[in-house]
Amino acid sequence: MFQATDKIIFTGPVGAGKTSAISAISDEPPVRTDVATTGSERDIKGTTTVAMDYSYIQLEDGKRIHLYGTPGQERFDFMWQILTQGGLGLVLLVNNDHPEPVAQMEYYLDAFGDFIRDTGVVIGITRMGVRDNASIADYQDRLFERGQVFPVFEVDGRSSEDVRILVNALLAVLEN
Amino acid sequence: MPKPLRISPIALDPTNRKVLKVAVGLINDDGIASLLLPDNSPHGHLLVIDADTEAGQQALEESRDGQVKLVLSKKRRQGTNVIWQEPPVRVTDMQELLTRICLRMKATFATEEAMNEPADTTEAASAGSPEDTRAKISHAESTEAAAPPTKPAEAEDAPKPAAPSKSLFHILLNARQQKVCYQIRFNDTWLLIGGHNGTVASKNEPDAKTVLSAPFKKLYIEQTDIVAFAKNAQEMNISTLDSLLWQAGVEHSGGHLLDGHDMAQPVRLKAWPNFTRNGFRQSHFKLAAIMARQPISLKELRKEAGVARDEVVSFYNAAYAVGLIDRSVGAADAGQLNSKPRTRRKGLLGMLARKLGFR
Repeated sequence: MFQATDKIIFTGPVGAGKTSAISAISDEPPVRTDVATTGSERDIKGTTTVAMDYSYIQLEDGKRIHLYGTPGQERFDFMWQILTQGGLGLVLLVNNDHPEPVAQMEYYLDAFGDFIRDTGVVIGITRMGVRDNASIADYQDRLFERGQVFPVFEVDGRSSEDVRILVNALLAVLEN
Repeated sequence: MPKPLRISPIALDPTNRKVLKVAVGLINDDGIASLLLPDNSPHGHLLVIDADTEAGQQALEESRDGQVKLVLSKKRRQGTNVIWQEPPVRVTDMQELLTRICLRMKATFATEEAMNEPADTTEAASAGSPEDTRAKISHAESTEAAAPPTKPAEAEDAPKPAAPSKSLFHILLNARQQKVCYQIRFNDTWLLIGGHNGTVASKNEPDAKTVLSAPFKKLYIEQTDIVAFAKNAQEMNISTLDSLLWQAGVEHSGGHLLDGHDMAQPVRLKAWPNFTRNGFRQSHFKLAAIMARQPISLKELRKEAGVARDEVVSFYNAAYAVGLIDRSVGAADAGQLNSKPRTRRKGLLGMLARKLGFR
């Protein structure tokens, strides 16, 4: 499964909505590897992905675009490089409910830096209405300071429309 | 720097002249740029006239309708742009009057500058007391009506005829830039525009859409102040001005590039528009992707994206209006940033876009 090349990677911290986002646009319910969380992660969500999520979108010629969700916990970051090999691009979901969400975004942008440089990235900010930890402008400003102008959208990971727009922006980045 | 508002003292006695001079000094101290012209100069935006004198009465009769007149008279006065004040006038009264009048006139002038209109179209109200003063905006044909027919590609970069004199987009842009408030009505639907805090208040969520889609000439637009906005906006739905401004720019700026902007000047996108919460067209993704990659002129952008000029300009207008455009880009910077190899799997990506319903 790791060797598939026509794939889009969904990444982000625990609770950012990666599994929901994949579910929102995939043709089949994702294969999920959730288990009960322990320790501090239990405060964020009851179960989490410890290996990866997988599903796909079937195209008109029968080919499949594979959708992979990385494990949320940073201790599984050794898997990230493996997962991204041959990937088309990255969807980064950031949980705005996190105490320092902009720093979280930067962490993942740095961790996937090489992959992003070779392909492209879009950033979806989830749980915007829960706490006003950061505005969309805060993310945009930090990106601009870094010399990066990536698409940053407010998304509800459960909304098919939001995730479709996110992926559409990724396609525009990849094609232009 | 904003241009100072010119104030002409007309036929004032020494006491009233001194009161006016002190009051003008005080409002300047308050940050309202104003300039007291020599006695009896007819060139002021605001004329302060002692109409109980023969010279003052004559000046009042000869003044232009577009000039706002603060008329000091023991007899009640009415007329176009006439504000009546019974003497004697103390410095504090004059200061308060000038503050109220100047703030409204300045905001109206700023609107007109944004709309490329001469100042004479200002219509400050005519009722007898300062409380009745209003800065109203008369309406023109909507931008859609002025949209030109399709032209050959070579001709499209040529400057267009003068933009439609007024549009809702320009009103909203002025509200954001000048931080002023408006009340906009269409039949029974109305919006409160809070330029000072970047919000829009409406009774119902679809009201903004109703107003946006209404013919501009049928809109009643009145400038209001922060106090009135705060009072009336209570218990109403609040949304962001940028969202409405974006929509107005995309749909109602009519493909006319904003005044002072240039198709040949390289510009850079500072951030992508928030497409999940604001309206978009499919071409906007392509335009944003190209503009985010490198500084580029709108002329080059149109060629590279293969998108119609009006669509490029409308996107640019909207993006500029909500603060997403960086114009401080030198020509030498254009085309040098963020170059990177692009995917060769365009066919695959195209199929995915179709699958997602975008093509």
